[in-house]
Amino acid sequence: MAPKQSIVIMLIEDDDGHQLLIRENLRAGGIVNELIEMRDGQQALDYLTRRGQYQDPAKSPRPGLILLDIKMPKVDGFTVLERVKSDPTLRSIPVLMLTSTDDQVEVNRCYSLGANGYVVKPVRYDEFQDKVKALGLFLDIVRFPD
Amino acid sequence: MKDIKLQAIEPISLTEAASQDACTVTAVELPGRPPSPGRTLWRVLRAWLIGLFVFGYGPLLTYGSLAWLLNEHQWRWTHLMYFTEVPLIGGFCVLILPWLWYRPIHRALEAWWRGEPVDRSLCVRVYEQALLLPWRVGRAAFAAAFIGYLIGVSVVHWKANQPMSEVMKTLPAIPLVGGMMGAFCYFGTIRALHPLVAWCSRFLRHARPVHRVSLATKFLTTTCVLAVAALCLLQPAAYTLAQVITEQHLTDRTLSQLRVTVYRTALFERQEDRVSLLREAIVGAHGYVFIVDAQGRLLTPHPRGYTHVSQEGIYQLEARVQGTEGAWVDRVGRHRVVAFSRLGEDGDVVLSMAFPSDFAGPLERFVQFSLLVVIQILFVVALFGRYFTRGITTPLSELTQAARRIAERGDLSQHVPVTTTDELSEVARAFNHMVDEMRASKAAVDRYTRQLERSTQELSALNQEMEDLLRVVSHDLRAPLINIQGFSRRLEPIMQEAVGALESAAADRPSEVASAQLASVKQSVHTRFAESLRFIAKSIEKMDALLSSLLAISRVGRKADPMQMNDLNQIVDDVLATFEHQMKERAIHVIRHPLPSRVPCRRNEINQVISNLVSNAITYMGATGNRFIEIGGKADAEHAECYVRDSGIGIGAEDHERIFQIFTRLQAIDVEGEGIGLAYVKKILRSHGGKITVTSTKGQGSTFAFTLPMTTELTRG
Repeated sequence: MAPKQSIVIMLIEDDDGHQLLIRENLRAGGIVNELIEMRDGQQALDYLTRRGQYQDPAKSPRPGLILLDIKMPKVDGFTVLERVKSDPTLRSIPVLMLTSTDDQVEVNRCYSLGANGYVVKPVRYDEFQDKVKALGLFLDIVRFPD
Repeated sequence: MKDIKLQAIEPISLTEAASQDACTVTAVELPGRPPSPGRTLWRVLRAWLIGLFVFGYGPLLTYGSLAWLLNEHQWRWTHLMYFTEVPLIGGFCVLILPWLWYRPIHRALEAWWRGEPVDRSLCVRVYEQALLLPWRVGRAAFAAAFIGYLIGVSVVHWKANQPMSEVMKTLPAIPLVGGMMGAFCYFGTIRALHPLVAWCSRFLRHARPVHRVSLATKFLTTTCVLAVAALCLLQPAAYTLAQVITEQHLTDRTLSQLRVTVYRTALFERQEDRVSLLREAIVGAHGYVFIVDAQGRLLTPHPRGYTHVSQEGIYQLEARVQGTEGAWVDRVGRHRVVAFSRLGEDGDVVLSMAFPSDFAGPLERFVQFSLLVVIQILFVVALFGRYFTRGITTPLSELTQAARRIAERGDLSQHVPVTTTDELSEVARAFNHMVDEMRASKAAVDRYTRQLERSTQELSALNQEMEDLLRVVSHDLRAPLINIQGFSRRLEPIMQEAVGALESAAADRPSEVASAQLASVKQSVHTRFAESLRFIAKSIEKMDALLSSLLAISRVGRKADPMQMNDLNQIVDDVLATFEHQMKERAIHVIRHPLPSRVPCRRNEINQVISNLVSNAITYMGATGNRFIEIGGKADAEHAECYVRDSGIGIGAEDHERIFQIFTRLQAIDVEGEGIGLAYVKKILRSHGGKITVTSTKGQGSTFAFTLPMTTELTRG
């Protein structure tokens, strides 16, 4: 295994602004992994299960980390999380939930569905950057089993 | 990344829940409290005493008193029987023996009444005893009458020289007195023990109480008892009265016949003629006449062959024979009427004995007739009792059925027919009226219930809508806020870059105009642009805090926060620690009193309550004077109370209600806050079942006091 074989990060987020900010902050935090951006849960599920336009494994590689927003049109984050964690081939992909509030009920629900962590989308810019940096470090060090 | 503690919600296992439930159920379910021992004893004793005195003692006393009155107040051996033997024998058989039988029941009842657990086998024994007791008491009462009668008869026979044939005539007294007393004791004891028997049978899970007497049976029994009682009470009196009439009649007849005979005897000289003439004076089949001289010698033959009158007889004659003629009734020995008349001056006396028993035919017919009447009454009652009681029982059973239909099916269309004009029709009318009223009130209640349900639904829908709105607003408004924040922060480096580019461009082609323009652009970036960004950032923070507060309000009382026993002192410690620096800075000192240490509440929320109150106290603290915050409280079995008092600027009475409304800020002065705090506090306390009050005068500080119920159930697990 090549030492710098980079993983692909999938970002599932319906808000354009948030998507842009997260992408920029990941880059600013020094995370240069390939980023697959999905606009809603349905699209993400199609990608992950290789349906429709995502049938070619070469063009649509399996992500090594999923950043998942909760509130989305069509299929929400909880459903995506549930489907990913109940699919034996996708279960090993770590999922970080992006929430806009630290509501305990929501957090508990994420964990009970098998999320690997959660990030509260911060209003304060620097906080967010810190978190993303910590996340980058985390991804560098930890190798998730396939 | 934020530290998350997983709160595992473990399902309660079914067996555990079942065993917990089983613990709360008492060992054996009692069908209400057992009947009181004192009351039951009183009922039983009352039945026995009435049986003894009214039915046993009563007839005998009546008879004895009548006999005494009609017997010229002479004391007789028979009175001894009436007045002494009944209390002795009756008391023993009808009071002492039954009490011995009843005692185990009484002891068991006393134990149960004290609240000792009811043992099933003991209950079975008591139940059997209670069922057996009436029969035993009835039997004992009959035996008492029988023994009393035997003793009485012996006394009369041996001491009063009453012949056995006369004595045997009183034999019906046994079934009459004994039967009446026995029957009353039997039924009275059943009646007295009925609550106990019913309770036992409920405890032992019998389908229905053992004794259920219908109204017809009661009517029948009452009539029979009354008829027999009338016979028992009236017959001795009538018998005695008839005897007195007979005696009077006999006295007159014997005396007049004797007078005529003596008058005629004087006309004859020969003894034989006299004797034959005397026979005409005999009255009745067993009557006889004889002449006795002053020395007690019999001058004419006596039917029993006596030649002399006994010494006792002479004394009696001396006492009785006064004047020329007279008569008396002698009850010593055989009951007889004695008439005498003097023969001339030489002291010879003619005595005529007449026996009322020779004329007892009509009396016996009277007794037979009265017995016949009683038997006829019983026959008629037995035959037509059902018919007579139907007038009462039919409307009653109609009422019962209608009431049952109402109770079981809630069918309020029940009306019972009003067919008679007696009190029962009043009952039926009242019943119908009651049903009508019930129907009307039920309709009203139904209507109000529907209205209430509708408005409750509306209210809860509104409430839900409100909460959803709060959540959606606070949640969704945050998404654009993040963008505004993110992108506004991005503007600064872009502007710096633009300024840098301009600077380097100006450095390439230096000119006066360009450098002047550059300076003004730099100036505006440094001042106006930075200022705008600062305002934007500050507004965003404020809005974020506002949204957080709204979200917190919408989350109050959710199950995620467990209800647990908390020490209010600890919560206040935590709160004061966060404000320590702020208070030191503003020279506010804290006065603490001990608070309730075990209060069921959601810790985070109560922390928020106290935190808000302390924060308000600090914020609205006056500028001068004694600056303090006082925290104290107390608790009783129902409520815990806690207050936060400050020496701040105070709140006018007109605002006391308004401060708890959302987005209310009373102060025009420049203080931080969203105007949500007290609404949040109020909502938290309401979700706990507590409440908050404020006492304050403008300029004199305020006291916020809140209560929490001590009886709230804790969250399990």
